[in-house]
Amino acid sequence: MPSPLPNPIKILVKGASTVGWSGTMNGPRTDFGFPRAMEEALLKSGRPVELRTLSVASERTKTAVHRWERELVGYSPDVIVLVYGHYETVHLILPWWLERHANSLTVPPRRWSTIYRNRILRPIWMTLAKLQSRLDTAIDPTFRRRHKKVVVDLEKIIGHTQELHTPLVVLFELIHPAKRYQSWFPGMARRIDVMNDAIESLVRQLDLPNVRYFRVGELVDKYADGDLEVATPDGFHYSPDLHRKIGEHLAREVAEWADTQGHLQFDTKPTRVLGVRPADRAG
Amino acid sequence: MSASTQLPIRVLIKGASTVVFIAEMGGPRSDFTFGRVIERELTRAGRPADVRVSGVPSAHAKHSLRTWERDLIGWWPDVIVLHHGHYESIHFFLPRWLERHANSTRWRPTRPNKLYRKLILRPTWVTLAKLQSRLDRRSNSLLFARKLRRVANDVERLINRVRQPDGPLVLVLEVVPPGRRWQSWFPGLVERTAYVNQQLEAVVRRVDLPNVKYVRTVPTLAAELDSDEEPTPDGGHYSARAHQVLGELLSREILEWGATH
Repeated sequence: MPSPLPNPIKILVKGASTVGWSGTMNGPRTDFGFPRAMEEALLKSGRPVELRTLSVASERTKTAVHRWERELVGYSPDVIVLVYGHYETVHLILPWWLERHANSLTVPPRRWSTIYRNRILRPIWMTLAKLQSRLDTAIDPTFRRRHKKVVVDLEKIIGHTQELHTPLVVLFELIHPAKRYQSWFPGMARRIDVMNDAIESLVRQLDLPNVRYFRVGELVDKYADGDLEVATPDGFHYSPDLHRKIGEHLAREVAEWADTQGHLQFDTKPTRVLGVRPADRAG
Repeated sequence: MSASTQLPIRVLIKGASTVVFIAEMGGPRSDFTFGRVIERELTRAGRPADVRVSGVPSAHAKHSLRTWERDLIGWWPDVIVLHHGHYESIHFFLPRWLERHANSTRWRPTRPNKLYRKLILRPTWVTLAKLQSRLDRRSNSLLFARKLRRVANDVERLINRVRQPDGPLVLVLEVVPPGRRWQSWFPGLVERTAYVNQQLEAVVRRVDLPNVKYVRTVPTLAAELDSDEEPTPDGGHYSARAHQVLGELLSREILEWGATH
């Protein structure tokens, strides 16, 4: 008879490019994103894990509301990590569809498409981005109040997750852009501050032991001396080292929570024989 | 080099809300759907398992047919559990798009949306549902039985897609009749459920393969649950206990089949 195996912790990590992208791409295979670093840390501690990561560039919180059923209901994860609100802080006025169109990574390399992108789209996009950058210093960078919509959307997703039998939900603190993007998005740091306050307030207001706020800023201070150039070498995305540290810290938090969950303890109870009522078995 | 690892049994579960929801929402994490019960039972028995649930609320059998390539080819599961026919038998005539729109959980909580849903959509939906309930009581419940026969046809086609002499184990689940709570809203649902079960059973008989089985869930649930305990306390979705019983029933089928493969 084979030995019983433990029940894996099911983890879903969802978010925009911050989740899957690294500040220095093209590195070795050991440059893990934080979800895989977390998986590795949990496996090393002897806990089986089933990890799914859904990371789509420029994904907004409202898209997560539209997709939650398909992505969460069937899988029913024990732990849900939501890294949202970042994209909504990037642009002051430029719309999502135009940004996706201009910076698309999925366009097939056809001759006319390349000409259109190089000669028409790119110059228009750059002009609009420069105009936006100027505006971002001239007006209140938070005038669109996007943080309110993000929080309402997150609250809705969290509400649904709690119906799925109270998994651990972790929301991420966002970090400021590094120097490279500060001139392009002068108001982004202010928007991120407002967004972080709003997300943290949501977690406080929900006041649930299984809904938590994960402070990335503290890790930047601890492991990169607060230097954003080190923490996010490309200006936006975590460095491989920061990904690893985030993964390790998250793994610790997940492991602590898993210790309190009966179904994630090693269980050797034999399978019941069906067709007999519990009452009949008792007597 | 570490010891070799056993290949996991791959299990795919396809169905609507019945496979993904538990009647008592918001319970502890140990309230498993039957998919996760299967996974736990297989791992308890020392068999590594990879269980995937491809189910969303209100999914039809025809939707499973549409997504079979994405779900199956490439991953190619050892066991396929099909739990269809429930959603299709619920409504007498109200269309799926309207039901999905009225009961959607995917709308954004903006003010216009909230107002529209509260002042227009909800009252309209409830009125239509009441009208449907009255008509369902007065007319032949199987007036639109064609759509139930289509469920069976779609399930048969799905089985034929994976049909091989030594193909995956396919378990077609019997649909459980509605609980008391749904019987007043859908008076003909009991007849429609019985009809769709007949059709599904006939499909399995027609396919006539040892690895394609019709799993009778009602007798097992009746035997395992207490006499006054409904398997679907909210009317349509299994309780945590019923999920547990079903998961154990299915895992026994899978382990028996796995022992011979």
